[in-house]
Amino acid sequence: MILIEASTGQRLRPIHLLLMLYRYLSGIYQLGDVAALNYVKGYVDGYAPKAKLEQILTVSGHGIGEPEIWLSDRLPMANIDTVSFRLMNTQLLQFLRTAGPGGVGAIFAQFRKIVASLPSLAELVEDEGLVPYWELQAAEWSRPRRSHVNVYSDSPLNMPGARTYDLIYVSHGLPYLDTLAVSKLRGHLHLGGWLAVLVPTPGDLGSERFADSSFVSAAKRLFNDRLALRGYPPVRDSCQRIDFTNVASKTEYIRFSVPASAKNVLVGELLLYSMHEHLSDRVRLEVLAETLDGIGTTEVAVREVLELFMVEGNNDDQQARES
Amino acid sequence: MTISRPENRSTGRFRFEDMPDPLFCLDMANNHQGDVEHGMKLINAVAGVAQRTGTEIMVKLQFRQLESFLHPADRFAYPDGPLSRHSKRFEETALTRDEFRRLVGHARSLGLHPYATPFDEASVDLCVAFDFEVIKIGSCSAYDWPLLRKVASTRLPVICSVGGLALNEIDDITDSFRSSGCPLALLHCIAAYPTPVEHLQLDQIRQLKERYPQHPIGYSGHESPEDIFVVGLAVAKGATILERHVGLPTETVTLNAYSLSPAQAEAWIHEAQRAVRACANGQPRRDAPGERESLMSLRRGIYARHAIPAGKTVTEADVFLAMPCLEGYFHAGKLYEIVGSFTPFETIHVNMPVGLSVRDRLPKSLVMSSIAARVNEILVEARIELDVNSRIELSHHYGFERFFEYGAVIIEVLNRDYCKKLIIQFPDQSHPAHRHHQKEETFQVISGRMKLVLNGQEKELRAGETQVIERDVMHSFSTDSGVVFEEISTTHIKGDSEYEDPNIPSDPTFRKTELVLP
Repeated sequence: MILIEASTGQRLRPIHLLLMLYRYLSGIYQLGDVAALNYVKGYVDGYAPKAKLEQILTVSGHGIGEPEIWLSDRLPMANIDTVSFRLMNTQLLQFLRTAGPGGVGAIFAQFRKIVASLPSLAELVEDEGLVPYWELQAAEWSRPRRSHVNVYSDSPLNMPGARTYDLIYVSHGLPYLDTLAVSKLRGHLHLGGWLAVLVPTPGDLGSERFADSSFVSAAKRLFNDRLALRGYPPVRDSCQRIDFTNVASKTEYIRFSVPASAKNVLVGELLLYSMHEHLSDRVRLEVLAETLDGIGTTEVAVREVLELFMVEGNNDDQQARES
Repeated sequence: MTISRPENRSTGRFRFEDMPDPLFCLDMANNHQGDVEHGMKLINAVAGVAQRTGTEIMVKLQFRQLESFLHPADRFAYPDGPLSRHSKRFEETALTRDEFRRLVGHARSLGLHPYATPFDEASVDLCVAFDFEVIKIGSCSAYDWPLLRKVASTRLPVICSVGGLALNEIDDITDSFRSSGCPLALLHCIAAYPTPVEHLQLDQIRQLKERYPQHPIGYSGHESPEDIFVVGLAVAKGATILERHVGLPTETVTLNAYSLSPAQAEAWIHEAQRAVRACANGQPRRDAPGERESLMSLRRGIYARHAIPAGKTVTEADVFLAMPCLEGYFHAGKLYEIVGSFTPFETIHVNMPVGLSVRDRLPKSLVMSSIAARVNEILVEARIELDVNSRIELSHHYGFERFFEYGAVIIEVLNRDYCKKLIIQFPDQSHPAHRHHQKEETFQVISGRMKLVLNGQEKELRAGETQVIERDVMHSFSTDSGVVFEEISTTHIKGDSEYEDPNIPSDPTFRKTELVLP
C-alpha cells in the first residue's frame, strides 16, 4: 500500500490523487450536477413553493463537493449532510476541508515522486494548473458558510433511521446505487420531501455518450489486457439499470457537450475506470501508465447524457422508516 | 459422440480445448493377453470404473503389424534366442484385426473412448479405419520420423509421450506437428518399468508447460500402483492428461509391476480428482468456507478508546486496536486510512467498533464492556465512588437488544429496611410505566435531567430536585441528555414491580443482566 501523508493528519492513497486528477481533467460531473441541481430546485420550488429545504442529504460519487458547494451557496440556511457509497470520496472531501495553505501542494509533491518513473502519469501530474485548481477548491471549503455541510463516512445504507430530509440528492454512479439503496434512502424523506437521483444513461439509450464510445471501450480493453498480464482479473462495468418508472414523478434527460478536450476526457474516463478496490496501488499506477502510452489522441465532440429522476416522499416511506 | 467436458459436448471431432480436465487414459497395452474374451472383460471392468467415478475414460490399445514390425530374425525363430526381448510377448499377445474390431466396438458400446498407439505405418491406417478420435505416440516412437509423418498425415490430434527425449528432440516434434497443423499434447514420461519415485522428475511437467504453453501437457506414469500419491503431484504440477496401464488380474494372469488393476485404477482416478479439487489449477483464489470468519476472529479490529461523538473525525488517539475484528467493521490495517478522515453519523461509544456497518447486533459481551466503561466514566465525572459490595445490573425491559431504548443501569448500594440505589440512564433511554405495591421511593437527581410521568402527569427533574413516588402510583421516566439519580426507598422486594405493559416479563430475571465494572 502506498500512503501519502497529508498535513491534515490523514493518509491518502494514490487513488485519491488520481480522483483529483480526473476531476481536474474532465469537467463532466460538474456540468451534470449543476444542470441537475438547477432543475431540482426549480422543480421543487414550482411544485411546492412553500416547501422548505432545510435538511438536505447528498449522496455523492466522484464529483463529491460540487453539489454540496452549489447547495451551500444557494441554500445558506440549510443543513447539508454528505455521504458516499465509497469511503474514498468522503475522504477526499475531508481532506479538502482541512487542507490548509500548502496542503494540496504537499500531497502532489509526494505523488510526483511516486509516479516519477511513469512518464505518462508524471506528465499529467506536472500540469501547472493542477495544484492551483485544487488549492482553490480547498480554499472554497474553508469559507465559514461551509460549516453547515457535514461530511459523514458511514454508508448511505447505514444512516440512523431517525434522520430525515427535505431533499436527498443522489449523484452516484452504478453499481453502488441499486434498488435496495434507493428504497432505503426514500425511508429518510420527510413526508413531501424529494429524492432526486442523477445517473448516467445506460448505453442502449445513451449511445451519444462519450463514455460509451469506441475510444473509451478500447482504452478500457487495453487497461484490462495489461491487468491480465499481471494476473489480475479484469475490471467489470456494471450494466444494472434501476427502474424508476413506477416511483418517479418526473424524469428528465440532461444532455450537454463537455468543453474539455476529448483526449483529456478519455484520460479521465480511464482514471475513473482504474479506481477499483481490487488493484494494488503500484499495479494500478503502472497499468494506467502503460495504457496511457497505448491510447491515441482523438478529436471528437464529447457529449454526455444523464437521467434525473424525481421521487416524492410519501406515507409509505414514513411507515417503512418507523417500522 | 466425442469425448469432451459436458458443457462443451458436441458431435464434432475431438479437440484438446474441449476435453475433460483431467483426461483419464487407461492403456490396455497387451494386457488383453492375446485373448479377446479377456480383453472384453477388462473393458467391462474399465467401464465400471468410469461409471463409479463419474468420468469419461479413453481406453488405449497398441497396434503392431508384427509381420513388418518385427525383424525377420525374430519372425522366424532363429536359434540363439530372439533379437528383441519383447518379441515373444508381442507374438503371444497378438490379436487379429477382427479381434481388435470387437474390442473397439465393445468399448464404444459401454461409453468408453477407444484409441491406440500405432508402432508402424500400417497400424496408423488401422487407427484411421477404426475412426479413432486421437492417436497416441509412445516414447519409443516419438522420434520415429517416418511414423510421425504418417501420423501427421491423418490430421488427427496426437498425444505424444516424450520419455527419454532431449529438449531439442521435443522442440523438433512440436515444430513439426505445428507445421502440419496437427494438434499435439505432450506427456511427461519416464520410460522405466516400473519407475522408482525418486526418478519421476515430476517438475518436468511444469517445465514442459512453461516451454510449450500452446500444448496440453500430461503425465504418463509407470510408477508402482502403491505410489498412488504421485498422480496428485502430477495434477499439482499442472498435468491435464493422465495415463496409466491397466490390466485384469485373474488366477492365471498376473499384472506387471506398473499396471493398475481395475480397483487400483478407480482409486487412482479418485486420487486425481481429489488433487484437482485441492489444487484448483488456474483458478483465481477464493475464500474457503469459513475462512474469512476465521481470519477476522484472529485479526485486530479498531475500537473507540472513548466516546467519539457524531460528526467528529477520528484521530489515532480516539481508537485502540484489539482482537477480534468483527464482521463489517474496520480491521487494524485500515487504521492509517481512516485516521483524519472517518466521521461517524452516530456517536461511537467507548469500546465499540469503528466501521461502516450497522451498529446493532453486536456481541453482547462487547456491548456490555462498552456500557461498563461508560458507566465508569459517568461515575468518575460525577465523583461517585462505589462500595465494593454494590450490585450493578442492567434493566432491559424489552430485551438486551433494546436496552438503549428501554432500560437503566441500576446500582444497588444497600437493601435493608431501607434501600438506596443509584440509577443511570443514557441519553434517550426510557423506563416503562410501572408501580410498586409495597415500596415507597424518592428520586433525587444528581446530574443531568429526567422527565418523570406520574399517573399521567409529566414533570421534569433537574440536578438536586427530588420527587416522592408513593405506593401504587404508576410512573415512568426518561432522559434525553442522560441522568444519574438516587432512589431512596423502603426495602426493595423482588417482584414488587408491576408493569403497565403486559409484554414486559414480571419475573425480573428475564429483564436484568448483571454488570461488572472494569
